[in-house]
Amino acid sequence: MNDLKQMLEERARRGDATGSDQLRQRVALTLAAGKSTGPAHEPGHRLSGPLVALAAAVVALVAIGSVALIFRTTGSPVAEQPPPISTSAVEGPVILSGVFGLESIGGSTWAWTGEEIWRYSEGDWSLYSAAPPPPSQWPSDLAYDGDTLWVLVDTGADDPPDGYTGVYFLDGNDWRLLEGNDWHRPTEGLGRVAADPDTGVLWLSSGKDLFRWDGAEMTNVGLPPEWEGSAIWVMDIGVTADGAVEVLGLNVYNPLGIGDPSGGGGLARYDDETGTWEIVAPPSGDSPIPLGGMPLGGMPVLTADGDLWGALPDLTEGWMPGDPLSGARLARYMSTTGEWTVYDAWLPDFDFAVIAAGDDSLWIAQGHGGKEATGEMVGIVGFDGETWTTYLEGTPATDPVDNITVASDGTIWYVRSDQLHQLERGTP
Amino acid sequence: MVGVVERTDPEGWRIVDELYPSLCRFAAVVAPWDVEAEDLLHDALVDVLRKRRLSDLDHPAAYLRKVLVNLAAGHSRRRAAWKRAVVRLGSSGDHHDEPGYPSDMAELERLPPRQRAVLYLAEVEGYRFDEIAGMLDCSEAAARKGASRARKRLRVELAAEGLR
Repeated sequence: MNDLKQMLEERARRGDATGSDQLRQRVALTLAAGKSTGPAHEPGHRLSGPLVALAAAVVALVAIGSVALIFRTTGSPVAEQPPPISTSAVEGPVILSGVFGLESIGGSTWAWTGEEIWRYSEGDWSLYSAAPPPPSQWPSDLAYDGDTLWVLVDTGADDPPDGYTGVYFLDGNDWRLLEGNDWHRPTEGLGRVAADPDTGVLWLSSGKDLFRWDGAEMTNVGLPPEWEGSAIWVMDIGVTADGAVEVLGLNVYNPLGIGDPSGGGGLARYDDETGTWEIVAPPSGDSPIPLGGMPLGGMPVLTADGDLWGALPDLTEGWMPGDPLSGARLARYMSTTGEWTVYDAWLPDFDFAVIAAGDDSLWIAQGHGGKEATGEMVGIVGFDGETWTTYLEGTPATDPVDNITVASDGTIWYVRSDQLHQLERGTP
Repeated sequence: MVGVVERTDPEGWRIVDELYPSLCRFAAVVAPWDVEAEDLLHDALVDVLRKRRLSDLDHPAAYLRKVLVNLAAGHSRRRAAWKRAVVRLGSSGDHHDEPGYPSDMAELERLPPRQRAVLYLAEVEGYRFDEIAGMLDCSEAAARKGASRARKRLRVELAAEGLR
């Protein structure tokens, strides 16, 4: 079918429908279940009021009770866990509208719209940049070294000039594209950026490479030799307090390294002074698997300061990506001590989860593409190192969480329907 | 609950009824292949109705088309990293099949949602580029460029398809 108009009409016919009644009912139910249908928030990206107005009620705390046993070993059978503590919480007012991204880095939390970047620091949100990040697309990742804000823009297009992936930095009021003198900027696969606040060095990952930009020269330091020839893809990077660069790699075809124990990926550390790599092996030797059950739908979480949260599955049960995680144990690697903690704790079974980690907490919410399709009710769950607590239980499954993050002061921020909210927590 | 909503803006629901067929077709054009047109339209309506009444909008059809394109682009971005990883690894020898689309529509699927939208509005619905620019919140030149690039890309891909 080489006729363009025919192709477009063929595509449009997928949308031919008989009537709008069913859609009207779905929309009405979603609106009624999710929020008041009172005065709407006007479009635009501005703060809607002082944070003290967030005194929305947190009601009916129903403790069902669960205290997880924490141990520092591996291989113990997983005891049947009681359900998590549940709470009912009321969503607070909208703090910012039109939000497409949310991330906590460099001691601040950043939220960005298609036009502006906002910063949460010392208890307040303030406008950081009103200039739209070029090329008028939305950032996919940020890095902040305490002085410069770096923005990774991923247009989703494969090649210029329709759009390309690149890193921009704010020079005064203008965004400028980072161009390394000997660096051929990849037009695809540039995935994450991280900055070292002590040295100002910017690190960029592109799936199969790690680039180092020191302000004058761009160099490719590659990946661990152990990962060569594998299908391991860099999913995230972070810089630890001691200046090491941590790289989270995941084998996109074989996240568990089934049949190839060294090929499943995991965590690796790069020492910038010696130019050497070290594989950080989990205590069991197994690669940590995605927390959400699906690769990229809740992969292991690498925090900004290099801690890793993941799940350790019981491989004897033949776990495969997409399987429920109820048999997997939660594990955390702390970059400051080099130790793993394996929690004998209930692990929520989310698919396509959005996940955030703070100093001592992990937060998981149902994202797009998963249980919303089944109509199940979803919420946000938090793990404080001992206990899981469910918040916002009963929020409509058709209105999943787009993003969640933990601010440096412990505040939980999340985005739903492009609107930024603070998670109101009560005392269970 | 439906009644509560309907009482708030009956004119809005009349607009939904009127626009439903054309918006559903438009949603089908811009949506990723695995996203149902009506699901995308549902999300767009919810997004808009949370912020304002349809009857308050000067051009509700244009506004909703813009939201549909943005939502479709969001879906595409969420898939982008994974898709690129698979494509790149496949090309480096670690081959793994990507879920396929019907072959005759694959070229169209590869276009960004906004370019599909521009092509559809121009080629099928017959809008002028200045009108399309208004609907998609871009300049007329950007709409023309988008259509031009999309046509060029389709020509190249279709030619390549013919050679395979």
